[in-house]
Amino acid sequence: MNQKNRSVLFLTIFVIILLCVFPIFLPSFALYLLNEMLIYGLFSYGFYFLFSHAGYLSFGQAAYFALGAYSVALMYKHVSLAIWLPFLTAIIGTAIVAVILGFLSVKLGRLYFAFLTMAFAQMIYAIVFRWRSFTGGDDGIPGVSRGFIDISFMRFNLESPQHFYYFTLVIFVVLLFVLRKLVESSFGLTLRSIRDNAERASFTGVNPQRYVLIAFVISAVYCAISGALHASLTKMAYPELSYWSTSAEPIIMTLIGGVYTFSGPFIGAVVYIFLKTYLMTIIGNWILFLGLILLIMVLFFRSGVMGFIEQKWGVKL
Amino acid sequence: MSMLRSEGIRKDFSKFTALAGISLEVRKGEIRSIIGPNGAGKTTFFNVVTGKFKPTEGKIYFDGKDITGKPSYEIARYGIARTFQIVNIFLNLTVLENIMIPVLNKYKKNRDFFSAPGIQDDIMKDCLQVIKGVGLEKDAHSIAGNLSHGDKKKLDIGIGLARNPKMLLLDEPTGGLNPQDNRAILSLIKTIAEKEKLTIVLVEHDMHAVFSISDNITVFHQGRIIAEGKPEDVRQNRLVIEAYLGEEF
Amino acid sequence: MDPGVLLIDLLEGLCRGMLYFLMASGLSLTFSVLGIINFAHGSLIMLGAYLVWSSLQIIAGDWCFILIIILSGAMVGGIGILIELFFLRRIYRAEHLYQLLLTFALIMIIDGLALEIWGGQPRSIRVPGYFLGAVSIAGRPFPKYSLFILFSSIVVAIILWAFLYKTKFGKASRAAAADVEITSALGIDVSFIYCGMFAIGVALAGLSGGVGLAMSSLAPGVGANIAVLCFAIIVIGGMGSLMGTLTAALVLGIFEAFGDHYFPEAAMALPFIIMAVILLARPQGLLGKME
Repeated sequence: MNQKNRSVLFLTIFVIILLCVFPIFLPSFALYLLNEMLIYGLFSYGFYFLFSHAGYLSFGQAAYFALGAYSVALMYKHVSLAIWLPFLTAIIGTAIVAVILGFLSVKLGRLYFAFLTMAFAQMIYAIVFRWRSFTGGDDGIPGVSRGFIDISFMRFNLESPQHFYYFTLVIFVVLLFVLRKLVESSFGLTLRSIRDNAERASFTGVNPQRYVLIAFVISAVYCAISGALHASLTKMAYPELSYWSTSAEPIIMTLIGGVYTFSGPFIGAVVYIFLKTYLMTIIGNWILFLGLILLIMVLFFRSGVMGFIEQKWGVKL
Repeated sequence: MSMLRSEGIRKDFSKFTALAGISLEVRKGEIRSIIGPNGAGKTTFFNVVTGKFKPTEGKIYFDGKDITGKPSYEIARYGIARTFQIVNIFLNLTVLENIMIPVLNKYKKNRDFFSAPGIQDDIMKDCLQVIKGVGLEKDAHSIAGNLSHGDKKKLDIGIGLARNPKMLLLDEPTGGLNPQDNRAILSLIKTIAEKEKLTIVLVEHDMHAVFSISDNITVFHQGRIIAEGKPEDVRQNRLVIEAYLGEEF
Repeated sequence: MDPGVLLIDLLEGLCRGMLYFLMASGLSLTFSVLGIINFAHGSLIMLGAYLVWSSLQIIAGDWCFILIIILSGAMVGGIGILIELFFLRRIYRAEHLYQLLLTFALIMIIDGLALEIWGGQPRSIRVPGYFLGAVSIAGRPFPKYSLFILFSSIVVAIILWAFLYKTKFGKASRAAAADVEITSALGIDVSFIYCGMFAIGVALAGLSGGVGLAMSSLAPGVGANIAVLCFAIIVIGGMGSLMGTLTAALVLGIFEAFGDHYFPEAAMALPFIIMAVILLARPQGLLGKME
């Protein structure tokens, strides 16, 4: 491992240690913000895996964010407050929906995929919106619990901000580690070959649609877990979670951070949450502002913050 | 024994007919060249054989199996590999990664979610062997898009070879090459054919190449076969000469 | 079954279908010729409707209603020219995905501007006097305005057809849609075609917004659902086929009209259901080609 790569490793470990230590001295508002950053980071990683490695742009990952949110909200409300079952429902339920919708969406290629994912997300928005009796309609589900974890004889109530933060952090680090493994594996390489040249990949015996579908389900599960965490953090679940403007957020975050860098989505989430928190009250028309940011990124800054740094330093981040 | 057999292959596009009934047979271990003027349907025929297009009519048999209309990835798994007229490689991956994709497929390891081949693995050894075979050792970690045109062509062939196919379809392997690279590719094809006892079907315009390495030649013209046979016979065939009127060979 | 009711439903379906065609035709055209999915298509339809609304606030008077609609469509087309020149052009050489991101950004920008300019409350217009009320068809009332929508959409469709098949520009566009390299090698200015075709597609969107305005209320954000509907029509009708778009629009309109009558709850899901069926049974769409 050369000098530069070693520095990157140390930097990563340092950041993780920082993240573990923050709750001790950060005020509760800042801790909440950091928690949001981790959650939106996960959301962005879901998008990033599908976009940067499989080469498929989805405008509808919010659907799975919402499904995850509603799964835990409803499970906490009606079934159990212990976290295992609600999260498991979120993961499995979303995976099933993702297999079905993903299968339909990849059939016609990348271009159609983009707007089919948006169409399906709007469909889920409409279903959630109208099914008042089950989902609460446009009122959503208020007072979502954070659940508790039973480990042997101890019960951790996650209502406390510190407990919930560590819970999110552990999930974040584990899922990030898993994603890293996926990216570096033969599966990740095969995905990238499909992104690069799906035709040639199929001539080597690889069925592109099947691989993209698998990547899509993995992406959906990441989005669902982040949605579940989001519902617990904000204690709300509402239909707009499935709206196309929610889908825009991981896209923008990943672009800001850097689509071609592994750390990009998290860095992008950090920047975006900062911007949103401090600028949203000042800038009245947030959607216009977001649109302009996206436009500028697409035209001039395609590799994002980390991409820029990577070029300067010659490292892979 | 028969490796590739096509029966009455017809391919219609909405406004014109590219193939009007192609029936041919290639024996195992044979080197067959398909020649003909541009637009004769040679690449279309390759596309039909490898599953890119479904034939409008007719059947294709490979090694005894009916592969008509099957998708490309299935046909690749049966043991047919092809290269492309316009270089068709993974431009953003390294040479090693380019070769690894088909090798992973050979070992059915594309879906290893959490591991990648290590240095000692058979997979890696096979990759390095192929890379050496096409003469790209010093570029193994270079990004494919940065290679010279000749090296890209070699990589294209390498990808085709990497899965240890039973039959290799080469679409204008010497296209756009300078004489030096041209000779290198040709000797590569000859070496591979001898060593691996591959069945090779070649679409070529370089007549010198065609006549020097082929066992048999099939001549396409306007979607039909107008001549077939040993190089010396085809060279003197009146119909072939007429089809090529104005071209030198 | 009462044939009069059937006729009314059928007619309603045709009116809706033709409006859907008007809405989706621009998207289909830009897809065929430029290979771009304009995500902001729904927002541009909304923009056309807003321009008509504003014009009617300024110029009271039924006499110029149709003129206002046409001019609003043209204005939106003009905005399309600006979009193509200043934004799309920069991104043609980049990966396709960035083109999608660009038009997606446009949704937010156009919706945001609409919010700035027109505010968030719903707007609507009343139908001009001579279109008020209903005619009697098969002994039943049928809104005059719906007939206006039907006829104006048919007129636009005919003009579009004539344009694409009888004019030099139209023929060149179809050539560019089929094979852009050969077309430009023949000396045809493809960038001019791209700009013009995009503008026309966008103008059609704006026009449809103006025509459809009287039928529903308008607020920033309606664009998204309209866009999704247009996407469904393109998928159902088939890749790059304007006839397919027409067929799909009419099929959808008729199914919806009957659905609204007999199964109102499910009618909302109709575009998605038909789209899913097409994706499973015939992915290339009703009139799309395979390769």
